[in-house]
Amino acid sequence: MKKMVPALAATAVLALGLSACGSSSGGSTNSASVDTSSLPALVAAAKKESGTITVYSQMPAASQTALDKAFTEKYGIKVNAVSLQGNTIYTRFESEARAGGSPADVLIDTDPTANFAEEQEGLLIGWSKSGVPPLLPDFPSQYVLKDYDVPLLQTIDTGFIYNTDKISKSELPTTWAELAAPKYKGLLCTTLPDTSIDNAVFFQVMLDKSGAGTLKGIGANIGTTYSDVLAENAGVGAGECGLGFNSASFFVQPMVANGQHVAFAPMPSTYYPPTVAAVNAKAQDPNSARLYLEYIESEEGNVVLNAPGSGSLGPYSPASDFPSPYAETPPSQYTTASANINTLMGDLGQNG
Amino acid sequence: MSQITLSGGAARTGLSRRQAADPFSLVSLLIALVVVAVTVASVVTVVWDLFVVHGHVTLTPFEQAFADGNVLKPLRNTAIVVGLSTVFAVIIGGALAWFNERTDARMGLFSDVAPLAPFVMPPVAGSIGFAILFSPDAGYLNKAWYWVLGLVGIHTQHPLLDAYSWTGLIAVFTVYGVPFTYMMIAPALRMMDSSLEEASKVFGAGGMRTALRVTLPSVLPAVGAGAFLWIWIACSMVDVPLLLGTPHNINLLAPQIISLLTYQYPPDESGAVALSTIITVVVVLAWFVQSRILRSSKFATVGGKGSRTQVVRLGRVGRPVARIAMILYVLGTTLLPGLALLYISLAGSWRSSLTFTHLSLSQFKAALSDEQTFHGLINSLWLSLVAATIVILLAAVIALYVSRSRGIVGRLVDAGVKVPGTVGALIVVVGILLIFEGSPFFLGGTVTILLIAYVMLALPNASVSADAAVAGVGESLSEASRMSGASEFRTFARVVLPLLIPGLVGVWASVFVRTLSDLTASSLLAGTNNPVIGFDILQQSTYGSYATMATLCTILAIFSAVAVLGAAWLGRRVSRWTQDRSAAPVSAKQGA
Repeated sequence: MKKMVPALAATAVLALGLSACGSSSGGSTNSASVDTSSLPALVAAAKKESGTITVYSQMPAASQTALDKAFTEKYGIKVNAVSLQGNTIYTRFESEARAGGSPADVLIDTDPTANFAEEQEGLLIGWSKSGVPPLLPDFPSQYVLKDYDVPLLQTIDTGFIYNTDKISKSELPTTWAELAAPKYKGLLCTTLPDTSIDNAVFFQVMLDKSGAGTLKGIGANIGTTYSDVLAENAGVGAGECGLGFNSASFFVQPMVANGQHVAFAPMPSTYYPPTVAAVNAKAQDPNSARLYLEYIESEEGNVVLNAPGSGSLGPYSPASDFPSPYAETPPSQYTTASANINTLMGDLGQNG
Repeated sequence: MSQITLSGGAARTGLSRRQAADPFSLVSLLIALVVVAVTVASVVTVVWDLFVVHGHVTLTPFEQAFADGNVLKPLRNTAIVVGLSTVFAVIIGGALAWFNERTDARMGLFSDVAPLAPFVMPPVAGSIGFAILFSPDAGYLNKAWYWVLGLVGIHTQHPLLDAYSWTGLIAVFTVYGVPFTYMMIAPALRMMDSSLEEASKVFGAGGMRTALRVTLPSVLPAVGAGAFLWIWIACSMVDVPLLLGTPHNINLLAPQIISLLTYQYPPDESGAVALSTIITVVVVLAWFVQSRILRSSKFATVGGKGSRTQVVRLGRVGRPVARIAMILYVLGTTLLPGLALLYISLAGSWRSSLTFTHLSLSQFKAALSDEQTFHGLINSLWLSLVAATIVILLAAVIALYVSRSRGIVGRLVDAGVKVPGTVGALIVVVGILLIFEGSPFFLGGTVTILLIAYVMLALPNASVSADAAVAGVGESLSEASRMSGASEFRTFARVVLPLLIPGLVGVWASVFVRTLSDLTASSLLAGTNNPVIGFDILQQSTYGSYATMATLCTILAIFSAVAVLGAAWLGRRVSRWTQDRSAAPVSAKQGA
């Protein structure tokens, strides 16, 4: 028994130590009242809070950092940004909510259907209920995604990435049907519909506009498929294939600057994957969270994120910067694309 | 000096009543129960709501997961890739182990490190490296191949090796499997007393007969453990099949499971868990086979009297051939992919042709000068050191308890440590988040919660290796220690643990490397307050470039190499306590 005491004591100390190493956050909710009667009132209310907000974000780190730096410089409120990709942002946020409360004050994500679903569950606050819209009377109404009650923060102009050693600018197609031509055999590469919902929607749009025959013809010309756009860009840059779908100019610009023989070109039809933002319904700093949302959706803040020539577009970008008029993707299109993945894969010849 | 004895029924001598009440055994049991409780709770927390609805068990997730038949092809593909890579990994790992431990082809520390070399390359890094070398059109080695053939007038579009083909995928899987089989088989061969083989030859058996009837059965638990461990890890491997299988539509089960969790909202957790049961069944079957080997086979254990190892001389031709084979193995599996990654780090991109005119360290400077990346690297290094050490200590204690326990408790503990880990890393991590994030622990956003996750993720696999290592340690030395008056704690610390170290250092290195490059726990538990390098790699995999990923992976590879070198050196040094290699070498032809 005497010999057991030190061992048991050590175990108890370890358990206590683990608890002591824990943070005291993540469990409480802030019951402070929200004041969105005016921007100065919101700023004053925000400055009475902790002085730091936490943002869970799917944006590129460089974009996030630039945005947060500008916000902190303006209001003195620090931003603790946590970058989470794919579904981990929702898994983490919801798991934390189940565990007693998430430390995230704001979510910036790329799936408006998920955002809306969480709003329906009371985890996020919709744009119209946040109190922020009256503070931004000049926010372009066409960029409020009404089906999801969330504002557009950013989108990218998706297009072709092509290897200039394998395909010349004059050989680029102007319609999807052209890509079914034999001259493109083995030159095409892409990420597939089953790799992300955005890819599924992209191919669903192609199917709707051009028909199954075109999709099958394109599928026959695909030389290589990739698990993600990063690998696809690298493959095109190395010459593994000639023309890749669904890249973005902000991927291609650094590759060109680095001397790689690639270029960016618009596609015959474009799907604009939206980045949206919403406030945690149980944010620990609710006023600061709303102030952050107001800032990033204001022209002053949004231009930091979507500067001209950056390859990303926002609500205040000139209409001429959009390859085709921006259109909100309705929920039915996400649903259809998601349900149609096997058909899309089959038309592309990828179910073998 | 230690002696090798044959033990029927292995080291399972069972606990006497005195031992069962001993503080060490009680503490071992307590530790084991805590570990099992956390592991099982992590999984049950997530899984319960999926399969128990309104108090009733539902099999709907299984029906939905298997209804459309989409699982059959990935299942078949997984069986082919995992099965073949396991066979090849056992053959190659066993051959390397035999060269290093039983022949004069050994080349010092290089021989200890060479078979473990692939450990230094995280799977995501290795996959990129092999893609850069062996992409059918743009791969640098394939381009060299086409050029060489062109010199002799042969123009072909058949690459030397297509990284995206069945052959390429199985080859890369085998590369990652060899270290696991090697680190099980090599210590067993090292500990084995040559007198058994000598006796066989004295009675007229040839080299091959001796190898098959004496040597192989003596190390069968180690072979079984290595194969089992690799099957388990290979079934769950995501990075390699995702990068190398996707281009030619070779889809495996693990990426499909991950896709259910990460593809769309809401994540299909029930489908992912349902499909994971396939992996659970495979792992349980393999575990059952390994357990039968441990329980019923006669195999060599380390005992209390002197022993010696005689090496086989391979001769003037055999020795250089074996050495060249080892060097080519390191070159092909680790050095060349590593150099490919280093090149694109220095070049800034994967270029269509190799040029050396504008290489620079700008990528490394940018990575290391970034505060978050640097902080993440420091966190990852010490977390990996601590996690690896905790894991092997826990695994050793639990394995020892299980091996000595005769009753149902030991078997339940064994199952409790291993089986939940087959459900899927992401499920386990979500469970840890749910248990430890909020009340009463409030560990959210801390490095402690990361440490718990790393330990829980690594422990199931490590326990397999620990089982085999414990099985190789006979009871006679422990009994001698007790008879001399040492407590169980002292016996464990001064007798058992040193004998386990050679079998566990490889595990330590494996856990260190896998923790260092972990993406799963990092994706859900790391953040600005507790950054780790896996977090940065995930970022780069979405919005970065191959060059930035290659830079981070190269940095990881350097630290992993140091860890593997250190582990190999320690394992060899400790082994000298138990083996005398001063006996005269025996010619390979002797007794043939």
